[in-house]
Amino acid sequence: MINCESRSVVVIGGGPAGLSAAIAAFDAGAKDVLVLERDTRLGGILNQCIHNGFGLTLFKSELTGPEYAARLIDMASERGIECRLNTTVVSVAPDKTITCVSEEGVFSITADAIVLTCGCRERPRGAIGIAGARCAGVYTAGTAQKLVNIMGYMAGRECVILGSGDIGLIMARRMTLQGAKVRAVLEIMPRASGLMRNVVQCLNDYDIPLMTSHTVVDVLSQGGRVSGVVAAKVDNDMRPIAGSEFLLPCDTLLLSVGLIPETELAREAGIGLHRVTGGAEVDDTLMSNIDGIFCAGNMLHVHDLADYACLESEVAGKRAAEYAINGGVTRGAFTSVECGDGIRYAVPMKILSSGSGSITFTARPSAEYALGRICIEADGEEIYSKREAGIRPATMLRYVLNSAQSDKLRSASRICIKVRE
Amino acid sequence: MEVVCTVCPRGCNISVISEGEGYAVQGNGCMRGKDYALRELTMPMRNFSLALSVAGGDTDVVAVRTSAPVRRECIAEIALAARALTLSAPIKAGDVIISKVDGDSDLIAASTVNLKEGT
Repeated sequence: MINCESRSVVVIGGGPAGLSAAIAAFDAGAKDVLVLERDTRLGGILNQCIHNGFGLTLFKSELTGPEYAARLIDMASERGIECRLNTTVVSVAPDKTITCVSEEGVFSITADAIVLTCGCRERPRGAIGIAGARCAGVYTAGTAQKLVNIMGYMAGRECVILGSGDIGLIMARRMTLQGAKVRAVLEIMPRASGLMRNVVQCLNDYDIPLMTSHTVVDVLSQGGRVSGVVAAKVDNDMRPIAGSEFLLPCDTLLLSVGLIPETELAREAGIGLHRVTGGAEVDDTLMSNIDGIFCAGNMLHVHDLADYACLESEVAGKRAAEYAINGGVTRGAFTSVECGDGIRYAVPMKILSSGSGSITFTARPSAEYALGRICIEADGEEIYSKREAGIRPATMLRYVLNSAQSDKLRSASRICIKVRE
Repeated sequence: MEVVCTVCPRGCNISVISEGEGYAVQGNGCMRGKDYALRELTMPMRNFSLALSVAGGDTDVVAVRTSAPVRRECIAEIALAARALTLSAPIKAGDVIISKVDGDSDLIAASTVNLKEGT
C-alpha cells in the first residue's frame, strides 16, 4: 500500500448514475466527495450513446449521450468534486475500505459512506448458447456501438441483429445511418423487448423487418468471418420449430439479449443480491444490507432511461451524505415489499419503519395491460394508485410518493405493489 | 390511422380520425403528441445523429446531430453527404458541421474533439 486516505463519500463509477450521486452528495453537505472511474474519461456508457432522446425529464431538452454526459460533468466540475480517472476499484470491504489500482500503484481509501454505481454489462453469446462457428463478426450490440461511435470502425456491412432490446434497436438504426445494411432484427419473444418509440424510429423508419418469435439457430462462416446465420421460428416455449429454418446471409451478427447489473464488487463486499434483478437488494434509502454502502443506477437494476438512473442515484447520493455527516444511522425494523399481480420486481425491496421523507418506487411489469391501475397497498389499504395505459414489461414504472403516503408505508406490516385491471 | 408517438419514452398509441374538414386525435398523453401525430401523417420529421471520423484529434470520432428535426425523407441523403466529409480536430460541441441540411436545421457537433497532444 502506498498510502491510505479517508473521505466522507466515495462514489464508484463515473457514469451518469455516479456523477448524479456525487453531485447530490455534495449538495447535501458532503464536501470531500470522491468519484473513482476506471475509464480515461467520465460519462460512462453515455459517451458511446450518440443517439438523441436523452434528458427529456432531467434537462427538459433532447440531447445526445455525449451532451448529456457533458452537462453532468460540468455540474460536478462547478462544485469542485474530485474525479479520479484511470482508477480501477479492485475490492470494497464491508468496513468501507476501498482498494484501487491506478498508474500510481495500489492504494486504499476509507470512506464514511460508499455509493456503488458500477453500471451493467451485456449478456454475451456464451450465456444464450447459439450453435455454430466461433468466427469473427459476432458482437454484442454495445461492443459494436463502441467500435462505431467511439473508435470509428464499421463493425460490419451486412448485419443481422438478435434481440430487440433498446441497444439492438438503436444499433439497427446506427448501422443503417453509417452505411451498412441491416437485414432483420430477430426476437425470440412474441413482442419487441425495447421501447415502442425505438421500434418506430429505429426499425420502421428504415424498413428494417422485426421478426418476433424468431431466433438464430446456427452461425455460418467463411474465411474466419460470419457469412450468414440460420434463423428459425420458435414455438410458445421458445423452442425452434423444425422445418422453419431459413438462411440470412450477413457478415455480422449483433447480440442485444439483455443487460446484467455489474455486481462483482458488491458481492465481494457481502452485499445481498436480488434474485430477479440480479442487482443489489436495498431499503428505501437505497442502502444495501451493509451499513453505509448505497447502490444506484444500472448496478441496482437495469433502467430504460438515463434520467431515471440519475434521479435514483440522487437519492443514493443524498442518503450517503446524510449517513456520512451523521456518523451512521441506526436501521431498525423493516417491511419487505411484495410484488403482486403484474409486477416482476420493485425497488426498493424493503421499507424501514424508522425513515422519513418521500419514497420513490420503480417497478417492472411482468405482463402487458392495455389499461391498468398500479396500486401500492399498506396492510391491504390502497395508499397510492395511478391509472396507466399501455403497461408493458419494456417500460419501467416510476412513482414518487409524498411524505404522508410514505409514512403510511413505514408503519405498515405488509406492503404490496400490484397491477389491477 | 394509428401512430406510435416518439416524442417521449411513454410511446403513446395515438389514433387520428378524419372528421369533417379536420382530424380528431385520440390517445395522446400531451399536446406535443397531437402535433406529432398530425405531422406524422403529413410530413414526418426526425432528429438523427451520426458518428464521423476526425483526423488529428484526441479521439477518432465526433458525434454529430441535427439541430432541429429534418424531414424523414431527407435523412439518407444527409447521412451520405456527412459521411463523405473529411473532418479534422479541433471540433467543439455545438460547431456547425453542415449548415442548413433541411430548412433551418444544421448538422452540429454533439461532442468535443481536442487536438491530439503533441501536435
